[in-house]
Amino acid sequence: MTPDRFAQVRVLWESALEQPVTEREAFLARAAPADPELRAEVMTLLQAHDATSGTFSGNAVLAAGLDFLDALPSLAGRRLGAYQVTREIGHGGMGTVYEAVRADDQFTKRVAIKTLRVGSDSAEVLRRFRRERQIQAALAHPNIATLLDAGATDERVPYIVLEYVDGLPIDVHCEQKRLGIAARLNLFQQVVRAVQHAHRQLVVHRDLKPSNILVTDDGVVKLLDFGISKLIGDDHEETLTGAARAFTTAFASPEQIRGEPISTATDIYSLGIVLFRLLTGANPFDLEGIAAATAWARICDQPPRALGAAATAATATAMGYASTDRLARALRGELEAIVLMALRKEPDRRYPTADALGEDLLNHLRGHPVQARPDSAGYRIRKLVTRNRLATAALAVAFLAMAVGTVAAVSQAREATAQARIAEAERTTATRVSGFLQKLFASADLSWAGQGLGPNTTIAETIDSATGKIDTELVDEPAAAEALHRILVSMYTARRNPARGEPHALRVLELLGQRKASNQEMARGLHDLGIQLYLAGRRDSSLALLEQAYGRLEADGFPETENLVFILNQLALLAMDAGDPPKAEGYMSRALEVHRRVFGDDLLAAIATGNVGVMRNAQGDLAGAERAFRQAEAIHASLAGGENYERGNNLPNLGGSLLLLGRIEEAERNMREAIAVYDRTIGPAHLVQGVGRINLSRLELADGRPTEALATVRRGIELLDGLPPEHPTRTGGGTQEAAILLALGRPAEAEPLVRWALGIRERWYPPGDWRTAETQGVLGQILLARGQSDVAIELLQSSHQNLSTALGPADPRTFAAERAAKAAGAGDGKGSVPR
Amino acid sequence: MSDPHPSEITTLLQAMAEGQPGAADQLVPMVYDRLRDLAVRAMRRESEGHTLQPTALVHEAFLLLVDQRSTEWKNRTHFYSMAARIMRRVLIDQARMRLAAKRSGGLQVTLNESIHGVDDDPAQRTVDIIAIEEALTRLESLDERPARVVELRFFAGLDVAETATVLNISPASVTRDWVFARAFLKRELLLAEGEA
Repeated sequence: MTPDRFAQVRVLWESALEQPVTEREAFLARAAPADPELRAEVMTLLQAHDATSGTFSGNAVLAAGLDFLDALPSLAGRRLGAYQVTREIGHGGMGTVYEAVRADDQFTKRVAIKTLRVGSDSAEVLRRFRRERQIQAALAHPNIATLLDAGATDERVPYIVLEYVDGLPIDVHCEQKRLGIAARLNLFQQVVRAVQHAHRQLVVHRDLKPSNILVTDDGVVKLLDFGISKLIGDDHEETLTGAARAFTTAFASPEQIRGEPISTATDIYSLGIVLFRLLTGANPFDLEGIAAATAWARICDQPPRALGAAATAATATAMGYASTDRLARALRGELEAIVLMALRKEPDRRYPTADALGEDLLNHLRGHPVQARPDSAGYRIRKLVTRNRLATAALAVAFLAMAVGTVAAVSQAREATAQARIAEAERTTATRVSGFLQKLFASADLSWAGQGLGPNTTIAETIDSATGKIDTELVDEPAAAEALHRILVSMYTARRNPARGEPHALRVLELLGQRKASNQEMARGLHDLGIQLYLAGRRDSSLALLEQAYGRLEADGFPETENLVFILNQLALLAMDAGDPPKAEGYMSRALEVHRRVFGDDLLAAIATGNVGVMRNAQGDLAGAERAFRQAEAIHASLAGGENYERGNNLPNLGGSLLLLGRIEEAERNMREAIAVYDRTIGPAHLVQGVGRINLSRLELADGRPTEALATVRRGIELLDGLPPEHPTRTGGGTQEAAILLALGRPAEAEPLVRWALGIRERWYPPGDWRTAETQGVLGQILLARGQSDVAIELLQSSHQNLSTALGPADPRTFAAERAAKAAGAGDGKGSVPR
Repeated sequence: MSDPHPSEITTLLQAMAEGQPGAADQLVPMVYDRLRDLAVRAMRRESEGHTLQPTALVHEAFLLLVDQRSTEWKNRTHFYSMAARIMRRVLIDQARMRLAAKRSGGLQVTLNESIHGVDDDPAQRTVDIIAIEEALTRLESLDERPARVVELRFFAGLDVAETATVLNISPASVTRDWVFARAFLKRELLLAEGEA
């Protein structure tokens, strides 16, 4: 980077910063279309600008450094717009709160100014504030503190101006005034009314807690921060699921923790917690000194404590009870039922409105029957069963599963390379298993250690013979058993032997469940079992497990880990198999995004970007596919460490899209370049070279050079010699050779080839797969040429239908199939056999 | 260590402002020694967290070193400009010394000025001043002005208006430079972390 270049960065940065956060990337793409390096430079700066220390809390020193850079000198004494800041009055999760006065000519008015998170988009906050003005006006209520204004400091830190409330948090107020149960419930009614009012305006608070519920000395309740979540954009979908979610764990609802949709029921839940605290002095869940993830799991999965069990001595005394037992007795029954109804895990089983909660409290106070009913035993048991059913699962295959069905025959190149990687993974796994077992066997001094792991005994044999013993021999060492099962899972995964892998994956999951493992570990376990089922062809069950794994990560707020990348990746593959490329693309793009953030633009990022292209191609989005492939090219170009042969896999994909777009010359250049890349990286004889040739032959055929194409495809098939005879990669070659022979007027030679390819493809790919459909189409054409028009028409129509479903009616491949089917049908109608 | 009389420094500042050759050369070591003493003492004072508040320090130095009555703002700007530079040196020297003393790789001189809005334990928060220094040096080599803004705001604790006066640019420019520099430094810290 030179100063001149840096000046360019600076100029673009200034303009990009003016854009709303969500539009910055698009803006950069428009502003510097031909300069990805410049864009990346600015983008990383923007990301750093938006980053908050909380995002990097893993490293205290780093977090402190970031905080230090973000730290604002106190605003006390400064003037912000019309307000003169007088003093700091506190700070919390979002920012610092100051007291300020509005100094107009006429009068002075005391206000509170609250700075928002550093890194929030100040322009966006102001825009939202203007948009939300009417809502804010509608929120006017004697028990809701008014939001007066919003602005941004010179440093672009957004702030809001609120009505100044001189009061104490509701729980502190109740204790200080030594209020009894009835007085507390009456005070709480004010809170309920304010919340109901806001809900009627369709405003949800999302962060109700005592520190946001102040009571003035004369007993008037004021709710703070209503409508703020809208201003800081927490109600936006992307932040809902992202790390930026803001809530206070102790008062958060299960749906907030899981990142599920927020509704008025969320506030009802928080009201339940506040009420619980007012009545007992404690939280419904014991969250003392535990990690956030554990707390979240507890809130999502465990029933709240009984009020009586949670009641504290201090609160009992403040309420005038001689002991906590006395208080516990007073809380038993209706009151408990009311609180627990507000605290139900399922939003739709809580009170439907704040009013309904308030009314039930009134019923209780007046001695009328209450609506709340304890959770039924039947319901609890059903829940338990579902939970335990969820408790099934296990381990991770690496990114190698990334290679996915593809344009032209190129996916098959992936499979070939995947095979190579599997072999590699297998070796690695074997080494690990060996090391572990030696250690384990030696340390445990098990009787069968005597059989030894001699150099001539295969690891697999040894393990196979020992698998049954793991749980009996290691009953007191669940950690060792878990590790061993886990290793077996990865070994069988690498060997593609799900029948053996599955029981171990299940066992790992059971052990994880028993030790109440973290969401991350559970997600990994669920993913691993999902992989076994996937390999066994049980895709529905696999999907169910992967979705649970995803849910676990969601519960943690999607920390950007390797796990998240694997799970998204596998979900993408499942969606692809299920014939839903748009969904697959969604998952894959997200996997890619996370991967790039965690690991940067490495080789896997390039491959995954290419996979996004493959998925777009598979849904007929050729232009989008081209963009992705070109982006992958750009990443390849930026990689240190020289050219990688993966680039040779990407180029023909690009070529394939270009070919379908009718840009034949460009396509051919890319395909030939791919062969050159292979030559330079893995040599001329490698089997992926075969795939390169088969791709090239498609192009030559499309360009009307069938003789040339035939030579190319045969050379390609020769190069695939190292593959097993039934390998699907070979079927691409067979189909292609048949298509060329047909074009050369030699259908009789073509037929057996294509029948062989179709047989394998039908077994290998799911029903309706577009690759199988293409082969069907070729067979149809051949049969038509050989005069078997009935079967041919059926095949061509089925091919067209499947391609249309898979790729969309507008895709050139679908279009070609449609023409072929129509021509054949028309020919048949006239009773003649077209040549 | 010499203990310069305030008026001596004031005179030198005056001379420097008037562009007299050699004035800065005399002034810098004088102020450096003084600031270093102050920094060391301050660190000892708050030895439990090794907390240093550079803003307070530089202001303290100014009061101690400069004869307030006869110092115009123009001279003050020179002082702050220089003091910021020196403060940066002091802090980095201290950090390196501690590193050398420890030889265990775990150096963090703590620079714990006003961390707002975060609920966690401030005692745990230490800043890797050397990492910040490295990033700042990189920024300096690419674009000097934002680096200067950081120096003045960060190490001398000047506010936007004061920084603008010292650099003779508009407050809006200071803010833009500050926002940009902050993003740059944060990114460099994150990158450094990524490599570690």
